[in-house]
Amino acid sequence: MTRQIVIDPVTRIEGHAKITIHLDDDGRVQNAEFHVTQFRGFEKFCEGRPFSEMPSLMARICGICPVSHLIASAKACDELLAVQIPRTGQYLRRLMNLAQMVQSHALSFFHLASPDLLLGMDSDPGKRNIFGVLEAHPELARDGIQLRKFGQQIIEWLGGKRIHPAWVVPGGVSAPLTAERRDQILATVPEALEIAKRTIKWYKGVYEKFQSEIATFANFPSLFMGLTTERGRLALYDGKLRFMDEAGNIIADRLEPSQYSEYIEEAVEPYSYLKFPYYKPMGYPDGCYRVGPLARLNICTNCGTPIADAELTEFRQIQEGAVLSSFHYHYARLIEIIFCLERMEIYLTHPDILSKHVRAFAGPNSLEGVGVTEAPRGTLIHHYRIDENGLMKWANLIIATGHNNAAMNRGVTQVAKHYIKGATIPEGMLNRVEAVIRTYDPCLSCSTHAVGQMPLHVQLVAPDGTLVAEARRDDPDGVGGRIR
Amino acid sequence: MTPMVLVVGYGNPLRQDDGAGWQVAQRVEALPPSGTDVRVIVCHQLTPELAEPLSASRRAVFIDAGIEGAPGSVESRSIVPASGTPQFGAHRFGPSELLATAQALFGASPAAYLITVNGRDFGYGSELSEPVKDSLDAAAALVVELTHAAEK
Repeated sequence: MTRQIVIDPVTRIEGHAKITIHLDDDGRVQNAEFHVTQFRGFEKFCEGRPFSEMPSLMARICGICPVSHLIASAKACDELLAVQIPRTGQYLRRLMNLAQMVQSHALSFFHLASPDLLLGMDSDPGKRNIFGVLEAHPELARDGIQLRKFGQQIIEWLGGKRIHPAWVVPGGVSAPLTAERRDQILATVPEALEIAKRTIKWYKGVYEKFQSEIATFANFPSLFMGLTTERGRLALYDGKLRFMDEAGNIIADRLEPSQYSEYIEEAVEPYSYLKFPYYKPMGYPDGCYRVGPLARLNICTNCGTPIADAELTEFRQIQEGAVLSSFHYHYARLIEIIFCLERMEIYLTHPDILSKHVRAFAGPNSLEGVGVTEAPRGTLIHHYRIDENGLMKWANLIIATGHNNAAMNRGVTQVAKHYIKGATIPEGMLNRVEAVIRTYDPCLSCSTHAVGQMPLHVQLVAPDGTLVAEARRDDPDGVGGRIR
Repeated sequence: MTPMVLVVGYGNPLRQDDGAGWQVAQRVEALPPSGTDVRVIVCHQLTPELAEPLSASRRAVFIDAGIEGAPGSVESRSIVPASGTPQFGAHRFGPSELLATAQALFGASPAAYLITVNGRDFGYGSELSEPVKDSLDAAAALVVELTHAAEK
């Protein structure tokens, strides 16, 4: 028997997906599959293009984190040029990366997650959106808008436009920072920092109400991966790869990012276009790892800035070893916003920041290049091969959301097992399935490099393959709609 | 200084006639100063971040592409803040929702108009269709007329 459930509105996830929940003979949840059903093929159609076009082409993968693709792509191109980019060029790239991190984290926390946190997972779906937040807590909504605007404004000031700026180029950046612009940005940082501090204080006052969700939202042992500095500090632009296990043991450290293929392999499952990267020495699926804000705060020795470090110390009181529940991605995001703002002040006041020497020029000197950086959602890898004429022969992109794919599947399974008792799909379970996926802030368009629409489609399947129940959301924009 | 009029042209300039809002807004921006303090913004889509500058404006003119009228036809209508709880979403956040957000968060929303330039071709590319190209001057003139009306 197929039962229809209506949820209106839902989502707040970017992309297009389907979930199948498999039951055993006793009607209990056996496992769940999170299918990403879109495909776009950026890796293929860039073949034959001049490598110098890659940053601009790859930035088009996403409208939310184009700066991350721009930076990873430009770093891969730096390797093709085989140049060392000027220090100021690096600082300016880092500055834009931090601004992008702030605006993306603000979008995730305030616009997408805060309705659940403020109004509750079981609140009226018609109100559980940014406008519900606006009514219930206008200061929080106003802060969210201001913080996102802050990040976008800096991207625009540096790159000329908010979305798809072309300022980050192979070899550095295309124009230096003026003193006037530096002062303008610096003047806006203190207010943004006050907002971030106010928000984390608010969050720490509410998150403990979500004990059931903390216990079941992808709360399981896994590895964690990300970049750190040579000294093990939080790194968002450049660094070495570090893997940590659930107990907090560093199992691999200072791995050269360009050698990622020695440590990371991608598995393929027939039910999803999104691949399943894993830590090669442990095999698939045991080598499942998580990336992004939670992983970065787990693996780093410290942040290296005073306010973020104080928050990190408190964050680590949650549990011994690595913090395991993906619910805490939200908390980690807020700490990273503070870190980004503190780092911005450091770069902006550096004596070399106004240097005119911001770009190295060269033709292709190497036929292979790898660019690795930390995007808001986690480690981003661009790997290119070119011919002697500088034309693209091959590209491989491993995107943050892809790294988290196996963990997202396990998270959905955990929520389904907790909330499904029998052959029905309770509405509360659907809300929480979305919410657990939302903790990762996945960008499915990025990870499959595909155009994003996400009507969530959940199927409950009996052991003989019979469809027991089904729920679907008719929402072409992935922003609210019906499940039936 | 508080801008008197905010002009917002929005759409996707890489989907041909969907970029009409940008083209019209940029024409308005290129006009010699008229005595009216005008701030022009172009963007792919309306976002809540626009609520703040909107709340600080006396009047706002939004320019978007449409598909319902004859290609090249230009329509103008006044708009008011959306009532009730609007549905939020990246692709469904219209000028009325933005006005409501400005009112709710920043305590003010200006008198506002929506200029719609009806398009014909929405394929890949930045080239506008002929009817839309021919209508840009008229649409820009309409925007200027509305900005001047703010002075009265």
